[in-house]
Amino acid sequence: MDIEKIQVKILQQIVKIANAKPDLKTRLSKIANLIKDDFNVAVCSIYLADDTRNFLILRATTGLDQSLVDNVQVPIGEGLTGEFAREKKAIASDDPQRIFPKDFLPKKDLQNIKFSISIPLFDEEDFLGVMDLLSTEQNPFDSKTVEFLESIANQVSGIIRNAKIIYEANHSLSELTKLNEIGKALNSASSLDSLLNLIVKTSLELIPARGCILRLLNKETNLLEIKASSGFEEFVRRTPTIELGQSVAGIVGKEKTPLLIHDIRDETSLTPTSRDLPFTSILCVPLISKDEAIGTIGLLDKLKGERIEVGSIFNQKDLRLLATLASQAAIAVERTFYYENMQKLAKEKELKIRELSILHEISNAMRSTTNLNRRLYMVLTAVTIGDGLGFNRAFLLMVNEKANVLQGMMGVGPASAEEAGKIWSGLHKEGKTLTDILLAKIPMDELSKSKVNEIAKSLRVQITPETGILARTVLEKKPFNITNASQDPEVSKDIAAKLNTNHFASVPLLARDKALGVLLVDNVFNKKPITESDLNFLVMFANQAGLAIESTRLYSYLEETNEELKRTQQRLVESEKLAALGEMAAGVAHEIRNPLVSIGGFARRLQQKLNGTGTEAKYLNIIIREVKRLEKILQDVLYFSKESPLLLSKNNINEIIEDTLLFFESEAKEKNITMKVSLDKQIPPFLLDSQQIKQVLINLLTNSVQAIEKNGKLDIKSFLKNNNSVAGVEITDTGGGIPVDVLDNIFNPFFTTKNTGTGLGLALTRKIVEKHGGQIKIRNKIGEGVTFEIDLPIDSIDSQDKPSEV
Amino acid sequence: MPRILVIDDEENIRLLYEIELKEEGYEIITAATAEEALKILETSEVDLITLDIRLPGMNGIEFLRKVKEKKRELPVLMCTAYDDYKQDFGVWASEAYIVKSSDLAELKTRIKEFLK
Repeated sequence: MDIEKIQVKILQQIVKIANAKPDLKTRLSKIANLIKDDFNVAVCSIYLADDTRNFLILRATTGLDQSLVDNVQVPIGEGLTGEFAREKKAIASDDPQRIFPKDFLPKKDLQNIKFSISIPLFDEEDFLGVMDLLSTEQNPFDSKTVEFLESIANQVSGIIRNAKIIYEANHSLSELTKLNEIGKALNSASSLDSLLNLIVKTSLELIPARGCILRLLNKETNLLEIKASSGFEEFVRRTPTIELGQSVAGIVGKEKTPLLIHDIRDETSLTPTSRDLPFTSILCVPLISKDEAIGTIGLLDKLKGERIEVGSIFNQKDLRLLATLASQAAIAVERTFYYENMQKLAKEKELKIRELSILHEISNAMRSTTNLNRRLYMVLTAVTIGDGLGFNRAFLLMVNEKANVLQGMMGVGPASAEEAGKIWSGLHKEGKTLTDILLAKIPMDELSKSKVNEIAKSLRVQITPETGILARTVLEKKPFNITNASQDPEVSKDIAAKLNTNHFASVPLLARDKALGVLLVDNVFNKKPITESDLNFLVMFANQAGLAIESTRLYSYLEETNEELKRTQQRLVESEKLAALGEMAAGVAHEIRNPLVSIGGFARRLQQKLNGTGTEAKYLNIIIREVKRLEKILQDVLYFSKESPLLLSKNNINEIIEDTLLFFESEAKEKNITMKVSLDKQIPPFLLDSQQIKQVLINLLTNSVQAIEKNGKLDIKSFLKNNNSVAGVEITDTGGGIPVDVLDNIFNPFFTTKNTGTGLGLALTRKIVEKHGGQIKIRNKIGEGVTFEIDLPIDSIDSQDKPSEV
Repeated sequence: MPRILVIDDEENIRLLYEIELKEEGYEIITAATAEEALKILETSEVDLITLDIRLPGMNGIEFLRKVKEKKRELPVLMCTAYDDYKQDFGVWASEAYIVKSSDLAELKTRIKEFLK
């Protein structure tokens, strides 16, 4: 076959290939096969220039390993193949070392190569690529063959150009279709979140890249916040926000113009850390709505797609595409945003109405009682039942101001998940309303057996900031939502162990800016997270509950005050009665006292005469004792009903004590009481009413002697104290002490624990001591005895001014 | 033997005082009224007077004033059932004020003080 015929046949085959359906790469591969066979060369390869015209990429080969296809890049300008960017003509060489850049191909492939010819592929002035032929023979082609090869190259160029046009047309069409679809999809997105994710997804579909980041501008902080992303998780985590004006996205957002960066590593002026970024190329466009940038979409590291024309960097076309997408996206974002806001507002309103109606119901129920326990129980019930706030368990802790302690009072809720299920479905079946349940009686029996109530009562926390979250709830008067109790350093191990839940909320019960206690809730069984809005509602409820509790407290305080008033009134009546009695007593004192003196006096005489035991002596004793008692009553009543001014004269307190003790000698002997008297002789005489002080001592000693049953001890001491300015007298007995509940009252008039007596003795005693400018105190040791301490000032008004008087 | 004039309108009291004080080693003269007592004082010397305040006719306070006009140094112990005259006792210038009691210990102590 002559050469021309062969050439015609080859050209026919090439035209056939050119018009065939398969994609460009397959066709190029067929052409390479054809050339290899027909021109009897070892290798035929076709390289195409990438978008940047910086590289030639191997797209088809016969003779080289097929795995090299798409993976061999030859920088234009390097090696023989690379020279076409400058030369634009076929270049032949017989030096295999010149043919390819160093280490470009495995040595074994090129071992026998003795010749190469590279024919450029041009579309008019546009450099498309290179066709490379390698031969094992030296100079296998004459100039005619080279010409023919060039004409084949022209055909190949045509094939490439046509494919490109068709691809672009198809691509544009598909892009348009895609954009249209995206537009539809964007407008149907149900929530802002899903919309933003959709934008990221479609951006990547439209322009394949290793990553896509969508940021929205937070207008309050002026920060661009990442709202959706794909790829580069670590980078996303590390830089969740970018300041407007900083970095690529920041500049795009501020300037409202797109940025296309081929290699961020060269752009140190844009961002100082550009060298450390995990990507190189960036395409970033603003999301603009009503002339304002609302965010940015950034694509990172373009992927080498199947498409031949598409290289590894973003181009102007990508930019236009993304900008188009961004303009649609911006509108959709804005719309969804408004829509979501509107829905949120509507939902909030609905929730508020529901919350308000619950609160209303609860507050109505609470008003039905003034009993604090009932109200507390209502609070906890309202917090735990489904129609109320719906928490699983609720604990109530109240502030004890005296002890500065937060004490658990009551807990409501099921003990286990099974019990929870039973209770909840049970309530539902009974069809009870919130009010029904709230107004039901406290199931005291159930409550006392309840495990949750037990837990509640075991909670006790000092109110200092160091003790953690419960104390802080009181101190800072704000709620806390604890999500990881076992790990939270603010939750004490004790509390965490008792509650046995990781997630709880602690809310202060406030009344008039004072924290009365803490409401603690959890969802230990259904594990429902406690949300911000749950917490808000709880706070609102707690405020109301706080007021309700405060009002019961006020009510009971009012009741107490009322009681007190009644008691005082009663006392007033009593004292009025007594005053009247006193007046009468004073009036008839003469009449009563004189006969008493006679009865008692003669009885004593008789006793002396009989001078022995026997029944007569016993009877006489009774007469004497009873007369003494009558005289004492008469005296007390008269003392208390009449204001008796002090008759001050300089007296020796020790003498008064000794005088008084004489009265008790016989009784002490009778009861076998050991008296220990230790009087300080250094106490100087000072101004006092000896009669009244004697009365004081008589009263105290009478009490002490009566308190001692038998075989006791009575210590009487006098001494100087406070730099000799005060005379102290102490009377200590072994009478067993005074019960605590009695102790507070013993100085009150009309208070008595004895069957006989006016209850005036100690009241009178205090009155007299205080009139002397002194004070009386009790040291009480229950089970042992009592010490009465009397302090009488020596340096009282007159004693120093008029030392010589009396 | 020191002589004491006991003035009291109650016979029983006079009797009790008389017996008790005699045992203490005093000579006792009694009077039921202030007037009677004044008469006794005209004829007899006494070392101490116990005086009731409420008396028929002239009361104890008037009697005290009259006695003190003549015999400033004569100790007078007011012995009465009334507590509330006590505050005036300084004004009356009697030597002591004793509230009457079936227990005569205090009375005896005070008398002893004056008749040492």
